[in-house]
Amino acid sequence: MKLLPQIVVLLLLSLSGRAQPELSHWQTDITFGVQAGKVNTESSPNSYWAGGGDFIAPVYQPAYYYYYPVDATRNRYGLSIQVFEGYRLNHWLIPGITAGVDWYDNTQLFPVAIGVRGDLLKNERRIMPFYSLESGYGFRGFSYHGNQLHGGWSWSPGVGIRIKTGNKTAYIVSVGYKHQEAKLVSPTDGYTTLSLIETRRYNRLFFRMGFSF
Amino acid sequence: MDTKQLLIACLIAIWGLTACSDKCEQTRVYRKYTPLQVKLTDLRQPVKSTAPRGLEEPGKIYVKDSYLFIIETKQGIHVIDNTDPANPRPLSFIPVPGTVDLAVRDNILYADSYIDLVALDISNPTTVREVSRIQTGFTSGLVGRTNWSYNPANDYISDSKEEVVTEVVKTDCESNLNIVPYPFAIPWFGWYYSYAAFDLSSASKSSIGQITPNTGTGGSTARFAAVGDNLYVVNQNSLQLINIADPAHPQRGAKAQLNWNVETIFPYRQKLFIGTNQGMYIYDISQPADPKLLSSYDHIRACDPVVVEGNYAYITLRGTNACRTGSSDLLEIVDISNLSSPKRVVSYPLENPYGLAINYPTLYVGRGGKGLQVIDVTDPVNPKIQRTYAEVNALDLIPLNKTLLVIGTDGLYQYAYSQSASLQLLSKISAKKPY
Repeated sequence: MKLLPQIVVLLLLSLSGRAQPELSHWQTDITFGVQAGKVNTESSPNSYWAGGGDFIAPVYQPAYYYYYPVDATRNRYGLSIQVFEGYRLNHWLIPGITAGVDWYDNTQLFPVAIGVRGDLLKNERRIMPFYSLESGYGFRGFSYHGNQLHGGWSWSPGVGIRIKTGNKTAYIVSVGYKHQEAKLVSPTDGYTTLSLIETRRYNRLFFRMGFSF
Repeated sequence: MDTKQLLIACLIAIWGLTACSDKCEQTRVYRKYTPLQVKLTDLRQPVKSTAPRGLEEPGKIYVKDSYLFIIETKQGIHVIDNTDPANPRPLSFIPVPGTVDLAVRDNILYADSYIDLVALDISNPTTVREVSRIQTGFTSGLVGRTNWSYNPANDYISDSKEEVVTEVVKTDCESNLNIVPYPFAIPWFGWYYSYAAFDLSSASKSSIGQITPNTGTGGSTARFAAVGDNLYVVNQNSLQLINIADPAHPQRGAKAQLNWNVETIFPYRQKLFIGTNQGMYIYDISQPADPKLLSSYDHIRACDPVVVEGNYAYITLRGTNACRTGSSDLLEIVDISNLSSPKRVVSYPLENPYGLAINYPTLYVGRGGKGLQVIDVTDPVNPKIQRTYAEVNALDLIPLNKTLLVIGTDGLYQYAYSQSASLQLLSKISAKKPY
């Protein structure tokens, strides 16, 4: 089988875009940055054990503990690393896929999405604004909760600028919005606690930097 | 910057403020136990029947002549005219606080009401009235998952009310698990930090107070048995005899101590078969006022109703965590031809069995949410499952001449059984939980 190595080599060459820059339609964007948002916590939960009063099962523990939001309302920041691999149909339409890793405090997700990027202005220039739009699914990463955590749907619009440094290479700075859902199904004893399901909707602003080739 | 740009900037700012906050909420379904106290003077208000009402949490069923009595757990008793099983007619509801069991002799109905035994005149089932009441001598009890107890010091009965509650709580998206404030979440580098934080946070939480849930052992079926002039009442650890020779004026009689956790009582041919969670007691009641222990039959620890027909006793064993015991779910058939030494014939695995009923040669086993099973026990060594009615929620059963009564959490079913294996649904009285 000679074909397979050839394909791999071709793919690698096309990814790097250096072998035949004028012919390559592939574009790779590697970015990293933060996703910022905040959480509004309630000042006190509805009810909990109070000397023989109501019983409330905890949010993150299978055993019987009090639940109260320890953390006050505050801003949240999480690291986000993303790779976009797109095919340049023309300068304003580059469909592709993104994959990466996002952290939301103690939750790690691996988002995989189908997206489209493209230039916003017509003429070739050194600093080119571009748009991005993607939607996909965030798969659960490694966390204390293991498979109790379930990933969820996400979508993310954004804009950025591409600062050209060469024929194909560029620096990227982008900002945008990201909506990511997740679900945590906590274990229950089936006796006192029957079901504990937390739905999470992360709404974040992202700021990313990186390079494109 | 012109007005239009300013407006857009403002809109973006507002959107940014509202849209970019994480929204997390937890939907939790749990059993909530609310303590309640019943004053003895309130408990002892004379019982009077009221208009019929719907079933909510049906408990034990009892049949007398053409009347059907369904316990509404701790609330009272539904009286139903069952002359035509295809068309049962609710007659009245008798509010009896704390009631779990009943038995009828002639036109007097005996029902427990926490520490009391109430005698009710049911000669006219639409206007039931109280004729007398005595204390059973039991000062505590276990109903389902809740315990009640009587405190003579202040004449209160402490009980708790169980509800299944669904609640939606806003959560903090699990941000409270980090140890130190830092600009970015530490668990980027692995789960160790969050795990450590987890322990810290739980340790501080657990020190706040009493956290043991108020739960107990599992449900049971009959704890009352009226035999001749006597009413036998069991609680967890004793057998109380109540003389009902004068039906309107029951008298408390002897009391026998039982060592195991008693769950059910089944009278059969001058014998009492008492199902406990460690075995079965057989009592001779040929001298009714002086029950004699003939033998006891040990089995694994499990919930176990027992029924008897001919030379065999049929016991279901449910080793659920409600019974806090073993883990085996079994049907056991025990040869009791020699009452002083019962012998196991067969131990047949059967998932999740609750109450059972025998109409020889057919055994009906209620399996809770898993349906109703019809088993042929012609050959006791080799019971054969004939049919399963999976859609029926069956906790307890009573076989009558032509109808089989099945009670479960979703109501009362009545079946006709012309052929033993196939059941024909005659009617259903649905139960609707208030929560």
